[in-house]
Amino acid sequence: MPNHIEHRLNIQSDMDLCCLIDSDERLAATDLVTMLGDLLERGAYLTLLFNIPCLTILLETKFHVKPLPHARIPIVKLSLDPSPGLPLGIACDIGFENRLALENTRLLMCYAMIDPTRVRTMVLFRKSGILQSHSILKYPRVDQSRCGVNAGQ
Amino acid sequence: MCVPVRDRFGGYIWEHNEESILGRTTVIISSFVPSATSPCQISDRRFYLPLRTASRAEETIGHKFTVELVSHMATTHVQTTSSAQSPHQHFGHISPATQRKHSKQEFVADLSQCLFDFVIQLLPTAEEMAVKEDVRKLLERLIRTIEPDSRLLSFGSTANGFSLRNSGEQNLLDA
Repeated sequence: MPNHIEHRLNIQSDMDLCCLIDSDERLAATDLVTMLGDLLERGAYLTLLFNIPCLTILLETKFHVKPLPHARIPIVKLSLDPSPGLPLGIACDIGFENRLALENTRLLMCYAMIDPTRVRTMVLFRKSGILQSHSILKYPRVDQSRCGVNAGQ
Repeated sequence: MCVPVRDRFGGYIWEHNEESILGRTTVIISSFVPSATSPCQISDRRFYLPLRTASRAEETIGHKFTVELVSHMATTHVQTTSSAQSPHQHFGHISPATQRKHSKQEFVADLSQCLFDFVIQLLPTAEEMAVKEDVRKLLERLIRTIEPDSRLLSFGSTANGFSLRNSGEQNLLDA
């Protein structure tokens, strides 16, 4: 894999996704990650068949897929190269049955809804500072939104 | 009556025949205290200021407090007179407590506005959010080819409203 793709897959993702499966008989997360990785690698060009107007330009480029089935929380890392429709590209992580993360997100959203202007301003300000120090000092990355909320308290 | 309160340059800030200190704060002399201690009070009842007391330590504290108060008043006065739109044109009739309250409120309002203006530039654009939502929908459709009963939900900063704009500068810094 070229270096720039490897780098792209290793950086902080732009978007975190979690797949919930409602049926009782579901595969283990490790198997699902492997299967999804295969599907995305093989079927990257097939996505053009899904007629989503905004993405027809976007998907002229190929997905870069990196399944991590044996991680503590198995995920598929996915990235799209920059294209005219998406100048900066996009990177996302897809996990499975990570209900704790969804609940944490819901809690943070509730905090933000209490007083949207002040809470969001405070958290985003703290978060931008934390991001800046991480970038400069190469600290290990943590959950920045939670960090921002804690720092603002 | 002797008033041993001096400003930072050594001059008296008040003579006993004056009705105000530095022309701004009204002086009220209590008639109920013994003449040996000769204290007086400045301004409204929230800001008692003993100008002279029996205890030397208390006198020192009062002295320091007075000098700080005067210096604060001078600063506020300069700010007020420099602002043409300020509502505090009749400065002498507003107590230091009210001035501080107004000053604090103005400071907080300014700070909030500055923070808001700073943060508003960092918010992701509507297009960026739309593209992310489209990618999520696309991936959901793909995953449903292997698990028909699945749902793909977004979590983390994208979903809770704390996401920052994805700037090229950020990626450069990461590199």
